[in-house]
Amino acid sequence: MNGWVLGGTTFLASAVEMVEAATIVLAVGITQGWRTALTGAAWALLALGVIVAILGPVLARQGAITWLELIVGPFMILFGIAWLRKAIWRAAGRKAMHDEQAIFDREVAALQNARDNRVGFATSFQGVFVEGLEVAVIVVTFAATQPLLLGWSIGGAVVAAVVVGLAAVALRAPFAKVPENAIKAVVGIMLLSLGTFWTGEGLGLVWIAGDNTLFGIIAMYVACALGLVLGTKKWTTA
Amino acid sequence: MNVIREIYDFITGGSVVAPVGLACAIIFALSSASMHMNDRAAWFIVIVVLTLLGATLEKVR
Repeated sequence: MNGWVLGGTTFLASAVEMVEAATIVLAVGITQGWRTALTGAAWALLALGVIVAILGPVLARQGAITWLELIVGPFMILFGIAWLRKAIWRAAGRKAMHDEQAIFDREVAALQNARDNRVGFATSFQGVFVEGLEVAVIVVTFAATQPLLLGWSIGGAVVAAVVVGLAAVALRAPFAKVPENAIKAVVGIMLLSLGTFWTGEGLGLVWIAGDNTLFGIIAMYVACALGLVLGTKKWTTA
Repeated sequence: MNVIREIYDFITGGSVVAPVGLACAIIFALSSASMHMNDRAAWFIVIVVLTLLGATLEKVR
């Protein structure tokens, strides 16, 4: 398994979730002060780091990869389908696009009435923790099946969080122009493909082209997703 | 009950088709022992693709 595949997947997953978290942290920072916003975000990142630091190495040390693949793979498939179908619905116009500016405005309006800084802290903490939890689960599950590539998985997620964090500090505005839906579709396809591949291996199935089958599976899901966007669009507008 | 619901939604995205379809794919792969491994793999993928299809169209209408 290529480290770039895992690192790239966690990078994109982390980037898109951190874009959403940054919107909430920005809203808290502007209404309740940056100290409150960044403290809440820092505690949430610490909590996520603890989850990865405890569970990642524990799972990575397990010798029997096969049964771990059989546990982790189905979760990846379910996560992948959940990410991908939302992206398909949005691309087909069945579901509203994620509007960071609208979310930012809503959060600012809600926080302006709150005078207690603890509300801001809790909002910032919850925003980062909830958005990051799925990424933490993905990193941990990658660690279970590809223990030698744990650094790649963690590295991808951390680099994305740092890049988005620095961009948010520099811009001090919600990321309204990030192509979130396209990124979510890519992450969904990667999770679904890796999940399918690992579940199959865990079940003892033999892939016709070995590890290279993964690229065939990715191509197949890309084609399926494109077909489903067109089909759903037609069905919705019919 | 709410906690269970939250966990279910977190894992499945609220889909009923996805976990059921996935369970069918796994049961099929485990039970079709007489089939060649490559064929089992191909059928496993077909069932997962159908699951994706069903889950995507599940709440479209």
